[in-house]
Amino acid sequence: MAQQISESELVLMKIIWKNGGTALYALIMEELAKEKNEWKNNTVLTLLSRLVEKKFLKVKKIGRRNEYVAVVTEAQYQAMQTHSFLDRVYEGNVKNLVSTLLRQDILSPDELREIEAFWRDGNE
Amino acid sequence: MSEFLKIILSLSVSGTLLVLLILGLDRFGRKRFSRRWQYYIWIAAVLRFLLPIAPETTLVGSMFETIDATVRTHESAEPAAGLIDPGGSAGSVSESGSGQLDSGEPAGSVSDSGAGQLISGGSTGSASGSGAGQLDSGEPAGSVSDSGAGQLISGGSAGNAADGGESRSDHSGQMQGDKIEMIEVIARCLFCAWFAVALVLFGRRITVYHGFVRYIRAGNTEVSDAAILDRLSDCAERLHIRTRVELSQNALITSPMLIGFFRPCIVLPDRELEERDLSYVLVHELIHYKHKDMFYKWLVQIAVCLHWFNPFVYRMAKEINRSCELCCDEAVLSVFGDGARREYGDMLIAFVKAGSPYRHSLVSVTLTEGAESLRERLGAIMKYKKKRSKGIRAAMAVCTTVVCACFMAAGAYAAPSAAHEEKESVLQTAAGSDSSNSRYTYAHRGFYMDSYIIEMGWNLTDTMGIIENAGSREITLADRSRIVVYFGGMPFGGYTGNAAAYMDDADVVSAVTKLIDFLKSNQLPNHPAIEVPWISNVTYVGADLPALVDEYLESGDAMGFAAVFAVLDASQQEEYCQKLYDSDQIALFAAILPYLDREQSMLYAEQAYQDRRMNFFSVLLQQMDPADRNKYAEKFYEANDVAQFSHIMFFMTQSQKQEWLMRAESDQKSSFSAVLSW
Repeated sequence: MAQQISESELVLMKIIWKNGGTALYALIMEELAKEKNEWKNNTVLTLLSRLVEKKFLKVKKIGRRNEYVAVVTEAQYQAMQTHSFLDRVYEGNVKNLVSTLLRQDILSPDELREIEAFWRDGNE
Repeated sequence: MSEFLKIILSLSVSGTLLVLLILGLDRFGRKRFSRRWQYYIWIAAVLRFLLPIAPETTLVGSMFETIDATVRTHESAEPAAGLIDPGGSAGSVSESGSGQLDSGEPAGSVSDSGAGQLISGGSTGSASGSGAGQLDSGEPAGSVSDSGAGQLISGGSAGNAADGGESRSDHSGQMQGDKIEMIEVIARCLFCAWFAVALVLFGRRITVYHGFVRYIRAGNTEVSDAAILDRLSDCAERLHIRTRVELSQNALITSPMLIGFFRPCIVLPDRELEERDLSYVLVHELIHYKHKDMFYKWLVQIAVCLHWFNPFVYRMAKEINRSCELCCDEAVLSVFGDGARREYGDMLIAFVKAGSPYRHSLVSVTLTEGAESLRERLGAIMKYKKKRSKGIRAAMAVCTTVVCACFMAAGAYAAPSAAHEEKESVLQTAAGSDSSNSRYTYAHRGFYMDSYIIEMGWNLTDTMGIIENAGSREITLADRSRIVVYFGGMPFGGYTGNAAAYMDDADVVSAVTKLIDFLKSNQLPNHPAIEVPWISNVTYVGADLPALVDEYLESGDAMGFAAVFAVLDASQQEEYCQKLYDSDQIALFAAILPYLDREQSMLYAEQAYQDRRMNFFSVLLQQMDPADRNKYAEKFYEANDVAQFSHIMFFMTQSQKQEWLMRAESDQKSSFSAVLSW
């Protein structure tokens, strides 16, 4: 579960997460088409099987069709990525991350106050 | 072992012939024939190296068969000894065992069992002794009389044999045996050496393959760019490839390659590739997959490992590798069209410039095999032609048929069984046994005639050893017909006959003639007709019959006794018969049984039954008609004598047993039904 997935694979994962964690191959292709993604069948199949190998997905055979079930939830994925990002870029220093967020106006002071309150409440 | 070696060698030779042929054709068709044809035609040679199939008579096959035949004629000296043995007992079996034949047991098998060990045992008096012993132990009568009677006659003849030139024949047999042993040993060593090397070579290839695959997989990074994956998908579609092909990049290689037999993966080097180049590369590798080049190359390597001693197999491998790439190039250009030639060539050059690719054609099918082949490939690319004229196509077809024809004609050495069996059957028919004799394979007995005891066998079918070594003489019989009689000792250990020495003795010849005349006119009961007679031994015994009879009686010489018994008059025969019965000389009794008529044998049977002398009874049982036997079966059944009944059961046919079984079951005689249902 510690493996990285590529951009394209993430696209597919998002589709599956959006669909409640499971999706048929046909549905995935539909969604891709909706997003104006013109990936070929084989391409999608290759990406999906890679995801299965990396244990992000499980395959279930329903008759002749494949159903893909997410093993890693979106929340878990975000947590993983955040940790790895934090470690890589900020060497685990959360304060620096937050200060960057503030300085870059990614985080507004109000939002920060909210977060602080959330933090305090959570710790009591 | 030597069989296998012969097969390998013959495959090597045939394969080499085919390789030379294809090389020749190649020289002629290099510039004109399609690369594809040039690539795939080699399959014929590879298969020729690997598959030991061929029609019945082929060039190489016959070559090896002559080698075989010479070996066999040396060998045949040895086993002919074994041939006599079954004869020895077959004689007695067919006499005493005619009942058996009627009941459906094959004479051949019966004779096989007892006799084999006998002559090599060579005991005389003791044999007859133990024969009787076996009878008492309650074995089924059939096998007993085999060993019993069989031992007797051969015992008798072994007695005579001991006199003859035993040592002489032993010696020459021994020498030939030694020669063959040596050949076998050498063959075995060669086989082991060959096998060891082949195994090592093949093992190496496998370990190298595994090592490389692991090396590659370690450095692999999957290609995630969807655009590139799409392009791959496109190319696969164009080539009508259904399986999904993986794509990855690897920092450790400089030339693109395809790995994996069943789950193919194209591995690209790290450099950036332009769209067009990428297409060429992908199509090239996909074509390698489509053509199953990996399998082909491994097949070739197996041939190389098996025929490591053959220089031509390496040449073949080289040619195939070359053709592989050329064929691939040709296919790529057919996909992209003539216009792509220049760019494709440029791409190849670029890759070769990048550095020497990992040179192992086994492990992967690369884009380029190196600079040398590049020149040739570029040349071929330039000369690429899509359409081929009708003439060329016809020429290719012709060449293909030529190759296929030579594939069959060159042939391989088929194991000798098929050819050998044919020869055997031919010899059998030559021996001339007609259908009435078909139940009897071989018979051998002693006869008294004109002061000689003549040991004669007839209906020889396993003639290879004997006829080749025996002298022969054509004899004119009383009815003016002529018959070839073989006189012969066999020049090998164990059994010898001195008949050859007598072949030109006028007295002996006249005795033999009379004998054959006599036998022909008085068809012996329970005996086959005379065909292919063979005299194994002649002994001068004089004309004093009574003395002879007593002499044999004393010494227990069953063969001699039986021979002389036959020419006694009826009253004398009865007298001696009774003597034998009274003195419990079962061995001699069994020997003269065939000369008793039905009345007499039934009388003795009844006598034996009354006296509870079951050894005699069993021996007589064999000679009985089935009807008579059945009477005794009834008797035993009524008397609830399961032991004796089971003896008789041995002679029954399956349907008879069934009848008895049903009867036993309805009478609730459980012990009988148990015995019958075995």
